[in-house]
Amino acid sequence: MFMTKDITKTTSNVSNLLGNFCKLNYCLFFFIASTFVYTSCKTIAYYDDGSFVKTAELKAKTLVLIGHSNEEYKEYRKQIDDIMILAETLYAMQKARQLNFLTVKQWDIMMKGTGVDKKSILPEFFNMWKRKGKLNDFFIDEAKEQIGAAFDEILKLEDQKIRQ
Amino acid sequence: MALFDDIFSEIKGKVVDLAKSEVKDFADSAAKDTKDYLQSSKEKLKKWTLLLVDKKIDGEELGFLVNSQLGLGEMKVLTNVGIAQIKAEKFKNSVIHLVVDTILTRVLKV
Repeated sequence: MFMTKDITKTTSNVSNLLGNFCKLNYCLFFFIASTFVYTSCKTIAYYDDGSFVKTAELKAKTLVLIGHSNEEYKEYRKQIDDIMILAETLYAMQKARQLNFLTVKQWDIMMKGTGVDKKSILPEFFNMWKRKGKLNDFFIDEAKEQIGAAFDEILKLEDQKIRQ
Repeated sequence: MALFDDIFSEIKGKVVDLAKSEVKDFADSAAKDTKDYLQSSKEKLKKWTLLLVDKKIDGEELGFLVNSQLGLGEMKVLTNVGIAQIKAEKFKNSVIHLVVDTILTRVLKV
């Protein structure tokens, strides 16, 4: 009698353990499956804090420099070169990031231009300053707004990306 | 089987509610953004034409401004496409969590 009771108890324990094991397996299966589905279907790059901060910095420096474009170009050649180096570095960084096509396209518009004319935004502004020597205040005000808005689009897209 | 039908029906209801709120928010903001861009383009072109007529800017400067406005339009489209993709990923993520949470809650309860 004692033996039978013991066996029944053991069987019940084993059954409970098996039940719990199966539940755990369910959990594990769903966890792995959901992780796999999530990572394998990624379509756009994760948010990158370095890119966001550096782009904001480039925007601020560029707008300050544009404010000086009513003065002689040659006085600001060094600052313009520094800005262009920072811009080219950031552009290259964006190209190196995985699944970053949309941001790269935005940088293409900023740095290379698109369409028939293929006229860029940022280099074209500095080229015009170089050609003309100095620019007039009416144009500077309008160009500043346009270039600032272009940077804002890049920042807006980056800011919306999913944090890792 | 009844348990599965129950779980499936619960998940379906939650996913539909989630999709309704996510898609509506994005569609509203994208439509407003496009409308604002078109309105501001119209005002800017008018302003720049007047600046040209008054000889405050020249043809080359006008060309730069118009080109930058077109570029800005393209950049806005790219931003909206990107945000739509991000929203879709967030939605997918939420659905995965919702499905897993619902199943785990029900299975562990049984």
